[in-house]
Amino acid sequence: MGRKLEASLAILNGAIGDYLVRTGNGLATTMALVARSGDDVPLAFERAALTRALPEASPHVAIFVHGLMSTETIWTMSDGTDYGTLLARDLGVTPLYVRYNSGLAIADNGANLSRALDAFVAAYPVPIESLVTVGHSMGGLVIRSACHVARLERRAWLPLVKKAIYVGTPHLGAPLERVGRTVSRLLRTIDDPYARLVGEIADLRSDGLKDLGDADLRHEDRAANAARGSDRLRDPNHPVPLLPEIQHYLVAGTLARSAWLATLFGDSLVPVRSATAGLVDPASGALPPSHVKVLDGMSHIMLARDAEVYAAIRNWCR
Amino acid sequence: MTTANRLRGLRALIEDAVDQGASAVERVHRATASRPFDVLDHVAPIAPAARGVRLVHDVTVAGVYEAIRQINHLVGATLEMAIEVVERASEDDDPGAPARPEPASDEANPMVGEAAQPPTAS
Repeated sequence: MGRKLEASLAILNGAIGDYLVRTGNGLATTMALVARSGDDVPLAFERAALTRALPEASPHVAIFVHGLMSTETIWTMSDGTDYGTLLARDLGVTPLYVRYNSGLAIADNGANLSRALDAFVAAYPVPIESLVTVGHSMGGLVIRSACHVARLERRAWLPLVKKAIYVGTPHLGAPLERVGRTVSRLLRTIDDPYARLVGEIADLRSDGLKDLGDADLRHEDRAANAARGSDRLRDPNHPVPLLPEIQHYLVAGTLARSAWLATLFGDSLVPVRSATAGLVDPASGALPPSHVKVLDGMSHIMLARDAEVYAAIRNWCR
Repeated sequence: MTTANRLRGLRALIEDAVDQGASAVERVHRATASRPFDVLDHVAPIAPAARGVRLVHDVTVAGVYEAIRQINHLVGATLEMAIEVVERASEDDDPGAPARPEPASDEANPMVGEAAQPPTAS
């Protein structure tokens, strides 16, 4: 299938992917791992098949998880390389790319990813010594959700994860979604059929998109928000901590030159405070400064395919 | 995900959009029309006549939107048959090919078929 079609399907899945799954629609994307960006054939989790698909399988594996309304081609740079192929060249890491329906709840994608990685690790041709996860935007939250589920279910892949890199991930939620949620709620309260219709249409957005508002990693978090009728615009206090046994690294982008604009709008979609999980404050001491990279003049999409970001990732993966 | 399945998905999506879009517009139409009728209902001399007009209006509106939905389902069913015919023709052209080629079996890839399952919560 053509890349344009896949990109269109990724947007459709991000917008209404939960509806596609509920209605058994054939346009819903199924979660899969691919060995190369744009591969038509997903990896089968059988040792013989993986041995054929990954003839140079390394004990060091990097898993790339794209964000909302994207496919793994989001990582592709102008010269056709991506962070994965560059890590393979520079550090001998085997890169793998996750493809998934970003319209499903983050908790569902996290559970699916956890199951997939369990099957993948069991069938991998050589014993895995280290797993590095790299998530762009929502992908970082899916990874966190998967780690949370894997910890509860004692999945074999979790102890292999040594480092987790989050690129433009809204750890404290995305203010744009919170504003959209509030506006759609207001529209539905207006006693006017047209305003209510616009509110209903706005409310059609997927579970995955809605989860971005408060970065809900678990079903209980989104249920609690729904029960509370959450219409707060402030960052939520996240109930799922970063797992201490993993080394975490954060990349954030800022577009605006002015400091306060950069703080508010960050890379245009994710504010710096959300992308850095509120951990850049030295007083919190949660992450060493060397684990956080804030890049000026970097848009949300460019964070997934930029040489400077790659340099940071390579440095952290050494 | 075969091409035929994607075509079926697209057909279903368009049918759903027309169906639900027609219902949403019908709701707005009825709500908008009810305002002048509600006012006329309080004007004693013309209230009985206005009620008659309202009844005719409501029945007509319901009929029109129901007709849109029925035609939509008919077009959807016809497209489904067309997809089926094309799919069978391509299978006849290539009898050695599997009817529903999938890149990995369910056992080999636990995620295959996941999309067909509803999320555990929404």
